[in-house]
Amino acid sequence: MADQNQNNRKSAEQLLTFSCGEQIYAFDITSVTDIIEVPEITKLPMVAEHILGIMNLRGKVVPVMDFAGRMGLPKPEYDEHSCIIVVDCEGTLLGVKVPRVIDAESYEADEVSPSPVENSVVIGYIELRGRRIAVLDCLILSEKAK
Amino acid sequence: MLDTFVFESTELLENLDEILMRTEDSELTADDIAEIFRVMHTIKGSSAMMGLKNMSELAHAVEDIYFVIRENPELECDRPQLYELSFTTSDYLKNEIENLEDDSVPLTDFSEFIERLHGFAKYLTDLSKGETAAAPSSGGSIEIFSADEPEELKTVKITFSESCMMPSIRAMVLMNSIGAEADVAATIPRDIEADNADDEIKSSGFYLKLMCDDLDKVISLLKDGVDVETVEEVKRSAAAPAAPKQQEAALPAGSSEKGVTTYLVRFEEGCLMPAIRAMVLVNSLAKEGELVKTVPSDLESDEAEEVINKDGFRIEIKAKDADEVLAVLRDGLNVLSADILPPGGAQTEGGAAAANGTAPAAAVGNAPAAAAPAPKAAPKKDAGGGHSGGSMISVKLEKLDRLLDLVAEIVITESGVTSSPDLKQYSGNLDRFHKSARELKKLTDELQDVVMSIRMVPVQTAFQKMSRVVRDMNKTLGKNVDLVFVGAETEADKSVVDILGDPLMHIVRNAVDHGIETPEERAAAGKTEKPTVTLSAGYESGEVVISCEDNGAGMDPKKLLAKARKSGILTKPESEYTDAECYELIMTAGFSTNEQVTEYSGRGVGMDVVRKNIETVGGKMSIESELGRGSKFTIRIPLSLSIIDVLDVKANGLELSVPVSSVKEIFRAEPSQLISDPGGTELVMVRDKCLRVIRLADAFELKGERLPAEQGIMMYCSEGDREAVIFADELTSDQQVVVKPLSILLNKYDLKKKGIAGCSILADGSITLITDINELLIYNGVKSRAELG
Repeated sequence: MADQNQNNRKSAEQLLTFSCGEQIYAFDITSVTDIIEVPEITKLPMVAEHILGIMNLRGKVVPVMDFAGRMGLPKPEYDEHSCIIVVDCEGTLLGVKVPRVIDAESYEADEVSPSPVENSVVIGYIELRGRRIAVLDCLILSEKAK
Repeated sequence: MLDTFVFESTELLENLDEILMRTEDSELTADDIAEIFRVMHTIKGSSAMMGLKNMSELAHAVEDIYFVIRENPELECDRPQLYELSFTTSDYLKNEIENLEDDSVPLTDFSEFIERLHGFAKYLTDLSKGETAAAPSSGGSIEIFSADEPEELKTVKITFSESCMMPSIRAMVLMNSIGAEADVAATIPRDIEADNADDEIKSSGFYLKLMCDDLDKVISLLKDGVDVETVEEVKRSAAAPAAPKQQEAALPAGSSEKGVTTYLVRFEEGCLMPAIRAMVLVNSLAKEGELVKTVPSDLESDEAEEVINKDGFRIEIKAKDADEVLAVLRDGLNVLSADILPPGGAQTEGGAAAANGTAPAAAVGNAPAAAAPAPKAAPKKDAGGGHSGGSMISVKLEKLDRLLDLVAEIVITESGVTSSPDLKQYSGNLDRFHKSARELKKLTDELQDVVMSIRMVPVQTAFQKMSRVVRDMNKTLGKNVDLVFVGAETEADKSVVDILGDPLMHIVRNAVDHGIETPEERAAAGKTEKPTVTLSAGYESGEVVISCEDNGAGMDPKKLLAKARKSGILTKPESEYTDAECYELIMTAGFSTNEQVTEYSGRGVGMDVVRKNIETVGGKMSIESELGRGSKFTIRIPLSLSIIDVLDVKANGLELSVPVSSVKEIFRAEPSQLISDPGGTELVMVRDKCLRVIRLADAFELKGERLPAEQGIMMYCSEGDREAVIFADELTSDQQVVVKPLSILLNKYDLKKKGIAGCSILADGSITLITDINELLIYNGVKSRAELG
């Protein structure tokens, strides 16, 4: 019921939330193109450790990144709930492996407190139902060269 | 909409350029003229539709010129001027089309140039009039009789009533209606489908040149035509005497002369496609008499069915036996009733149909069904006729990308279905299933091949544009350079060919402007061969190699160095520069060797931009030169989407594919062949050559155990002038793959430079990495033969 209210009250924008360790993170849902089971990932040599490799997403070759590794977090436990969130970084797809996707939540952009840290992966924080969620910038996450 | 316009117009203009280039020094055939006319006509129409009045007017002016030329093929005109104007028009239009994509650029005002075109058109018209006057002419302002016309050929002049809307169509109908009685040899105006034919017919009348046995009969037939006012025979000598008006009295065809009978046919309710039924009826009546008109007149139009359902189908026919016609009509499929209508009412509708200009569709008579589409197509002919690219269609590249992806998906899914683990649980006979599965595989394989081949286009298109560049430069610089193509049929992915356009243009311009000397300089240097620029294309180890070679002055490394010093772009002491590095200087920003800036080159931007463009698509550029002999610029661009043969190997658990084209020989090393250099470098003797062994595991920094060298696979690889032996643990298979570039998100890892060209999705959906042996050798410090000395 609480969920319903929340959705009715704010129809503006939505976040896709997922957990990694203790913290909850979120992507703006417009940047998410797919959420898929972890497929076979082809390892790449000579890349950073958090680049897990490349996967075949319906005929497209998409690089996959380990979210925890990218953020420098301790290696989480991956199980059957683990999945890959595919985000669109200005036209280029990136797979992000996360331990668990939680939900889609409505929010208003002005509820996000922007982070003062420049060029941070986390662009801001938002409190939703008593939990602090870190909102991510997928372009910075992708380490895409300018 | 704009996209389509830009695309189509660009294609048309390229086509125009091609014709102009081809015909400039040879003959301009009637087909070529017609094609140029068509191009201009289409551009005129489509740009007017887009509201681009300036372009439309420009095209119109050129159209006028070619109209005169088409009408007077014998005309000896000022051809250099004609080509100059035509080329300029093509350039103006191309520029304007380019500007369209930028909203901030206003439409260019071509009025001055259009004036020039009008002037030229007038000059041509005057010229043609002069010729006409000189010819042995007896008629008025129009040339009716040609000198070599045979005596038997009769000439008939037809005039149409003032109110007749489209005399050209009437004329066409007339020609058809006398088909059985006479052979039409020629008409004046010659092309009654041309735009201005209507005006010409109205002002001067319509002339038919025909062969016939009974001219009187033909004339009477002609007189029966809709809107025909007078028909008279024109004699060659002097002004033709007016033919007696009351000639039909002498005609034998009495009964049919009585007039037209109108039949009303109604079809059963619920009859599907009454228009088609009607058309069939019209066909079946062909034997019974001459069809004058049908209502609705255009049976192929969308409204025809409605009209027939509502008002019935009306046929006006001139037949000997009205009952016979009625019988035929009543025999028709789905015909409910067929009756003769009393005369009278039909006349007004006849006028209406004539105004539509569609009546002739059915009035053609002898073969209504066959002739029906003809008048319909006629007005379009100028726009869509010619059909030089008849069986070609243009498709957006993205659609092909999507298609290719889908096909890949199908292949993957197919193998998923046919090798499904569920099948193993089923103990029954699967023979038929396997047979179908094999069939399916064959089909999907073929589908994949076809889709991949669709995207491949010959580099010819990129080369062709260079002819124009060289032609223009020859005109202004007077160097008379020959442009030679080699291997223009080499195919590459469409996107690659598109990318090539700009770099090639810069390089070719440079070659002609800087590379080739002036005729005087060549003579002084004792060069007798013709100045030549050779563009060649070919494949080399998974890359398209395009080179531009000139036999000009070549480059002097010392001069280049001096110039670079002046420009302040040297990065290390001059003495350390090798010749090759000196040549590369010209690809540095801010470098231009030519003291004088010309129209074509010398601004110091160009080569560096060229290099950048090529590098952004994963290509490379290299320069060779010999002082006094010429220079050669080579571009290598990966066949981003081409199918290549690869060998699949494993190295420390990682699966990799090596392009077969890089591998000369595969062998297992005998212990006696292996050498260990004091520095620890592994070497192998292949016959009398001592080669470095590069372990893929080392090159790609793979962890794991080192397999003893004699247990793995040795691949003797050669790329350019570098050679080495690549070592892998085992060889698993060979196959064909499509190379896809790695995601740009991985650019920061420089995988390409380290020897990974890209990846490929295999039939089972898994991904394999494709190695680039050339890069791998370079990155791992394998020296080229030249560097070894």
